Amino acid sequence: MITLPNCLLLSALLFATGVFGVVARRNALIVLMSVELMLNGVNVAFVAFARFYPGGAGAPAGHVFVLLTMAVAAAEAAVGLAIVLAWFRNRKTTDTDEMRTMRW
Amino acid sequence: MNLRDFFFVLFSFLAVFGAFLTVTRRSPMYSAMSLLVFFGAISGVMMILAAPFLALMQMMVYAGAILVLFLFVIMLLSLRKEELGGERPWPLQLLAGCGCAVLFGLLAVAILRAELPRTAPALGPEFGSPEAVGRAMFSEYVLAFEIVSVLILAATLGAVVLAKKHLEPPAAEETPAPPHGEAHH
Repeated sequence: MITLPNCLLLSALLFATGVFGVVARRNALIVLMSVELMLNGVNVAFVAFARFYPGGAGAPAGHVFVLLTMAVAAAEAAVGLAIVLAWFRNRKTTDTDEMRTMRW
Repeated sequence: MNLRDFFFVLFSFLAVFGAFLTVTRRSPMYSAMSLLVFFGAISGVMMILAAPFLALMQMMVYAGAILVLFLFVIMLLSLRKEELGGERPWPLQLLAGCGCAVLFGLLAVAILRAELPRTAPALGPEFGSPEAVGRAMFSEYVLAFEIVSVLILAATLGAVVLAKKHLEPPAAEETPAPPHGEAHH
């Protein structure tokens, strides 16, 4: 049951769910959470590959990549939420369709 | 079906369930709570896949730090119903759902057609321990580690600046920013 294809299918399903959240929702907070879903789906794939191709001497490259991904996710959440806060303070909305002026 | 398989299936279903609830709930607070279920389930999956250190970091970093950050912001905004913003009309949402189903289908075909191992190799006792991960991170991947520290520094500065500054409304004509952000107050 715990086979590499099954783990990768789980990873792909989580990633696709995250993509749906980013594309279909308009609340900026939920869009940010969906990005976290996608990053976690990728982390599952990294851990699964590390489990099934362990390499030599207990040096799991996949585990290192997952830690780096977590750091990137934390940075992304901090900056994203700061943007949402600044935007809400000025416009009283978290709707991503209203955020057109962010281009300038 | 032994116990490991049972828990793998259980945590997988929990993760998919939590992810589905996260993207479908109307209120960000419910989404954040579903995200907690999702993070816990992913932590369990990592534990089963012989990554105990990462399972711990998953709980500490995601559930402990990132989710709390989300909750802080949700409570700080305390959105009323009319401030939640509209949702896309259902045909567009259906279209997005179909697109994501196609994406998953393509990935699934690629995964199922590839030659992938189905039996897990035996592992040494030190696999996935903090010592093994740390040794790999500070020897072979030390460059990536250092670059991530720069990224985090930049993100910290960016978050502080964004949270402090008052953005100009776009209706005002574009004048150069005053030297001090607080000059008009």
